[in-house]
Amino acid sequence: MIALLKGMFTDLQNRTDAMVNHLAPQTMDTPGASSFKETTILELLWLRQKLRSVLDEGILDDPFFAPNASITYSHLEEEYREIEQYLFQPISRYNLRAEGYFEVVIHSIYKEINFSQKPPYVSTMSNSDAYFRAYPKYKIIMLPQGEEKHLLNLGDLYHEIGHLIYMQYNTFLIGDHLQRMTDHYRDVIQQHGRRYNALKIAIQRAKQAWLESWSEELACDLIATYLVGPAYGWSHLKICVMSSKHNGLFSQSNLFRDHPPDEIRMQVILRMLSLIGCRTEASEMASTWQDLTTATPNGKPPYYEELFPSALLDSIGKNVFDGCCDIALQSYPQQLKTHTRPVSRIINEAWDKILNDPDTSTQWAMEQINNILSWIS
Amino acid sequence: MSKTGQRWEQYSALDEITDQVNQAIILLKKAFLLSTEKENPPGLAVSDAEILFARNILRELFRFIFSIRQKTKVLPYAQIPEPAATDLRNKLDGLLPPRRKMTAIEQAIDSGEHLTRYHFRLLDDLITALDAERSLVIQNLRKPTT
Repeated sequence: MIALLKGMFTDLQNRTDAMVNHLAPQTMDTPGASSFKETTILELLWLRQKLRSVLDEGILDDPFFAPNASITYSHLEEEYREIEQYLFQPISRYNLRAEGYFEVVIHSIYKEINFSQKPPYVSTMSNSDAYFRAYPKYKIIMLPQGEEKHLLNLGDLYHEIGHLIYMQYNTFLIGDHLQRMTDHYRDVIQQHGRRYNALKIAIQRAKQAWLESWSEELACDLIATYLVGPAYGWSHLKICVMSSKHNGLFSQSNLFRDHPPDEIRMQVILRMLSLIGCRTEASEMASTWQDLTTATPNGKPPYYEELFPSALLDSIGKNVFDGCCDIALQSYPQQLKTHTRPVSRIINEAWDKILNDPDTSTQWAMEQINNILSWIS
Repeated sequence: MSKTGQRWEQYSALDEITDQVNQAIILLKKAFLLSTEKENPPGLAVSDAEILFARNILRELFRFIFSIRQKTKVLPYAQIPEPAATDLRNKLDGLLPPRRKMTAIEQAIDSGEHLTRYHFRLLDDLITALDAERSLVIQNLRKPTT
């Protein structure tokens, strides 16, 4: 066992060295990618140092230490896998026309929304199934391969940016929402719960879901809508069309998953559109939503109304709106006033094009993308 | 706080605690071998300060785990938020060897006595349970946020 462990530590050290040797000579064309490469190499070197110190300290020569050496190995191997997946692979696949393009896009967005954090690295190593994803620990956002050739889904990039904003400002953003949620559910149990055990169980699970993920996901929907306006709503409607086909608008078959039901997400998006002054667009979107629910009737899980009262959606919407204002993020309408042609405007125009003049939208989108590419100095 | 912040903080704390406890056991095992065996692997060394540090780490862990039974109000590991801390304590409490066996280790650590191979077997069971819990958390957490 101890010989096996020693071999495993040595092998992991060799693999770490190979990654460093692969990356070190590579030149990145843009500063964000260069910085991400440096971070990756530093993380790899730090891991290597930890592996070396275990190999040198004598514990891999006596079976007495086998349980502890195996725990140390599993820690370091998990660290290795994390670095490989979220640092090494994304930077290894760097391409100027994809990652370089998104570096320009994300830096422009951060300026336009007035967010002073260092922008994340954006990689196109995802796919349409995994879609847009963020890994906040390493400040990386992953988009489907080929996304640099399209504009319509970029509203969802603002949701992922929302996760990074939320990481820093969560308490400012959701405010007293969790307390309101707890108070509401306590009242519901007092009114009905003693007679309905199933309701009490549903409330318990909903409270956990709010704590663990629903508050954050709804906050990110609200932040995205605040920042990119109607385009985020259209992106969400696109997702709703897909989920409605398998009875998913109200999460009937799996209510307590990471994301709240699509219908609840739509409701908060509409609220935020009104709060930032896009009432006409909110009204148009609400009408499309009505058409969708009429065309594809979806079932609701039990106690849906008790779990998602309108007042709770109002309060989280207002809290996130106030939070965004307090941290001086520029809303979509504000960006239109302070910037000639912010990225958020281009995405909204892309939606106008596809909805009103789809025949010319492809050519138009390519022109916009080429224009953004020309910003790469 | 929610998924991104709270879960990461919880994992970071658990990861740090597991690593510290594992390192503490390694240090005490080194001290045990150096004091009982004539021939030891090269590189095996431990200072008095490291032994003291290791004993403190284990003392703190025992206070955390046994706080349910003792109903202690001031708990170590304040960095793990509730209800995650209570959840973790309950899990570890259920996985541990009987309390009387652990008490023997606690007493040996408190009095500065050398631990025995039997004590180390119990400590290995303890760290294995703690690490299994850590591993479970990271598997859930490593999924990216969509």
